[in-house]
Amino acid sequence: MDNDHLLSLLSATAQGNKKAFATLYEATSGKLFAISLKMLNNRAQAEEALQDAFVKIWHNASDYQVSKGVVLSWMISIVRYRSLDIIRHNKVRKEQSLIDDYDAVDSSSEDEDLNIGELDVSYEDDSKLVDCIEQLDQQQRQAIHLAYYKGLTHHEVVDHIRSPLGTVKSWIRRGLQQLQRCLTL
Amino acid sequence: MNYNNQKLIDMLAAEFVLGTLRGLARDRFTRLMLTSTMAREATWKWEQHLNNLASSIEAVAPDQQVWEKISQRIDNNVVALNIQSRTSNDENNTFKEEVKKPKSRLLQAWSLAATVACIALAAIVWQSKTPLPISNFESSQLAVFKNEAKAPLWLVDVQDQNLIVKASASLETRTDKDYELWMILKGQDAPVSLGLLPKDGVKTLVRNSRFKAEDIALLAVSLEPLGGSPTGSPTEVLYTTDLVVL
Repeated sequence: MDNDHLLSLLSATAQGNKKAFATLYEATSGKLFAISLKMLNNRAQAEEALQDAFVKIWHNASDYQVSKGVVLSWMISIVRYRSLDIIRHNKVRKEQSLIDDYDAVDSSSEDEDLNIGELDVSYEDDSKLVDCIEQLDQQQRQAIHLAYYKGLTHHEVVDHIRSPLGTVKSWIRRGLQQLQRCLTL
Repeated sequence: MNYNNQKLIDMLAAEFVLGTLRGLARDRFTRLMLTSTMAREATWKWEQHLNNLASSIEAVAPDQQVWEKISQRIDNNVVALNIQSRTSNDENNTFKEEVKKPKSRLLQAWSLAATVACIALAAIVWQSKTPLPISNFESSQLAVFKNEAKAPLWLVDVQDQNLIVKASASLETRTDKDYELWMILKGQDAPVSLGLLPKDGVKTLVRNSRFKAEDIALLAVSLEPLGGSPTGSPTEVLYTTDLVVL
């Protein structure tokens, strides 16, 4: 998605242009919905998160600044934080299906067509982050992926990959530190 | 905890964005972002980095009804604003009553009980010489901002359409600055302005459509140049408080 195009749509949205907002929705809702769906593993709640996120985007479009990153990243953060909030407050989680994602022992998902359990990550872009994350240890990468894509807490990652809490925290912390070093080189 | 430590801030921001910073630690960091440029910038930097991970996720089309609901919510907000501007003139009380949702007897009883409790709480926490405009209080949500000496500065009474804010005699009046009220929503980093606070007397603020007790993590007051925040974010946070639901 072209950032200049999204920026012009967001600017018009900030001025109350509903047509621009609708175009912005058409351009980004599929990606944002997929992110929320992957985290929540629940179509109704993912739609709720998407709805809340776009209402927030409508109201806060004028708060966007270039220093906050590209437009899509700013929008992704809004839908991710809303999804984390739903996870935190409603405690809706399909633990068994999460285990299935990694063990790949059960393909009888309720929503097979969604294909939301797959954590076999293949990046579409060639950002520096992708290079850097490929350099992490496999455990560090796995723990960071589970937290980012599934919205898992430290304790949930522990349950998922069956390693001690201290080890998981250390993987994530060291993985992030290594990412930071790599990204600032 | 030393919040001037750049490395510490970077790691907290990274875990905030990743989502592994949870519970009270997440709430603390959300509050820190209100006052710390370092924390805000670190968070934006990690958002830019980590959100590249989303490139691996293939788009999934949401149902058409999602957009319809979004449109409805936005249009409703526009209508709600129009209603407020009309009722604020005190000339359209009939119309105001028409748009109010019908209350059940149970709700009315609860509302009455809440009003009594509300007035009682207000009387306890408010030690101003000036009597409160008690007849104005109809809600079950309140917030009181106090200074370091625990003297009350503002009382915020949440009503259906408005926030009624009363300034206390304890408030230090600044002619060169304004005070601005903010809400911080749970799980969201950007504070939302609710308007400028009175420096004396009572002021009615339009209630933001997202002002819902269950969604609010914190309320805050910032010191701003005259006219309010020039950036859309709080300039200097002075006080924070919780919303009290009775």
